[in-house]
Amino acid sequence: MPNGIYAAMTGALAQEEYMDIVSNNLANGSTTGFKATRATFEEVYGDALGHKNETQRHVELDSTYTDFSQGGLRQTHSPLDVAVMGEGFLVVQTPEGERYTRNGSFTLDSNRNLVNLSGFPVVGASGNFEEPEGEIVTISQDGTVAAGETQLGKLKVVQFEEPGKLRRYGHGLWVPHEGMNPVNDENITVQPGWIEQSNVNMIHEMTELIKVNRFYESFHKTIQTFRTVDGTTARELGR
Amino acid sequence: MFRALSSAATGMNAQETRVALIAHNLANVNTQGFKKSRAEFQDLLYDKVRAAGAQTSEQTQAPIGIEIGQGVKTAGTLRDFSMGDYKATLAALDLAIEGNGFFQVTMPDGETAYTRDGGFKLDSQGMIVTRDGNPLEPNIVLPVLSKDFVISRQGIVSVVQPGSTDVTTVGQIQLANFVNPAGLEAKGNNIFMKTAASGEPIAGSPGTQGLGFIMSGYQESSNVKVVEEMVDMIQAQRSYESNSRVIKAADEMLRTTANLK
Repeated sequence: MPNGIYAAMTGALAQEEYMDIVSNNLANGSTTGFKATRATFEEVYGDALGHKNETQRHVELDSTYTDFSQGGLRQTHSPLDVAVMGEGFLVVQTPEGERYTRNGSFTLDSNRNLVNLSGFPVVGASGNFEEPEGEIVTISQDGTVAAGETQLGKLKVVQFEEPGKLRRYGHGLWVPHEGMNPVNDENITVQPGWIEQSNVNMIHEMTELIKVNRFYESFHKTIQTFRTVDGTTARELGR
Repeated sequence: MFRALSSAATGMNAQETRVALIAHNLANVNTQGFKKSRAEFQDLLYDKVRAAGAQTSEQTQAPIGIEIGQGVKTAGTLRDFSMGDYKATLAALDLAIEGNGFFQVTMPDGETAYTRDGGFKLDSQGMIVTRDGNPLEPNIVLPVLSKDFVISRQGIVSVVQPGSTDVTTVGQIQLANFVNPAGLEAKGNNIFMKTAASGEPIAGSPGTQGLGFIMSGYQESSNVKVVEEMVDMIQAQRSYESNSRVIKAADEMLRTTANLK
């Protein structure tokens, strides 16, 4: 029995997984600070025991990575919204440690701490922000958070050498894995009153969707062809 | 692939929320002192199909893993307190705030509410009240039969008493501001209430402590911009459409598989 049928099957399975990724990208077309997921496939030679074998080929989803290209900016007029200009991530404190984000849609919680919309406190360049009193809280272009004339602290922005390798945490946050160290960016520029929109390109994702659909179909055609050939062989030889 | 179906469904839900807010904004395009709101979304948790750093052989590790997302959720709705346009009405009791701040109004249950809608009227006792009959706080009463009254930029209300040519001051309108206006709770009827997130009101006279001046004879229109909302609506509709396409495509793929036999 030819094993091409397995190659076709693994191809179809890989497309199913890729379909999930495209679907998630499209679902997050309006998510502030969202970055699209991309996938790579790999051709694997070898059988189940790991023996290298040219005739036992199949395809797998190799890895996923994040496309950190800039999303479009959108004006919100909210004094606590910021968009990070250029590369770099804003920092929030979660119960599991610091997490990094491009979503600068912040607000104040009931204790008047600067938090993101999940309620995680925003981390300042020198730790926590002072509690605002009296006047309306604003953020300026150099990341200084102030209540009227009183400065409360400065936003912390960090950079990574290979941001594409950051892991996703959900809620628009990213986690570095071991060995990846955030580098503080001193000369930051943020755009107050603006947010960064999702960088999902709808045309790209729709094209991918069509491709997935058609590839999937052709893998199934291949599987059917193998079955027909097998059937014919069995019938003809058994006659 | 079932992840694709449910991700796309969350995407459609999110766009529905967005359209609901756009509809509410557009419905209030002519509401004085109305402040528009928008929805904020966040991606859901990710399935780590293979973690980065997983052993690929005895000596090697995968530098990056496979992460598959599960869609989107609405993180919250945010109100945009930017200024609306001013419209001249010539009615002396139509007040607009030129800058930050809210009028303070006493509700029937005694609580203080906050509004940017400055369309005030006089009640039978000569008290300055909102359209719903709730008095300003501190309340200002014009003497009966007073001929003329003027409200200055600082909110000082002065009248000319009958049988006299002298101008007497009867009160000063006070405004209030918040550390975080976005934390205010909308109660409908153009009214906002303070919450723990908005902080305590910082009251003061117009033109002091970062509060705006008062313009008599003007109304603040809604800050909804029809064009912006329409563009948003088109985006929401297209996004909804593409998510529904994913469902259709996933359905077709499942059918292909079902027909394999």
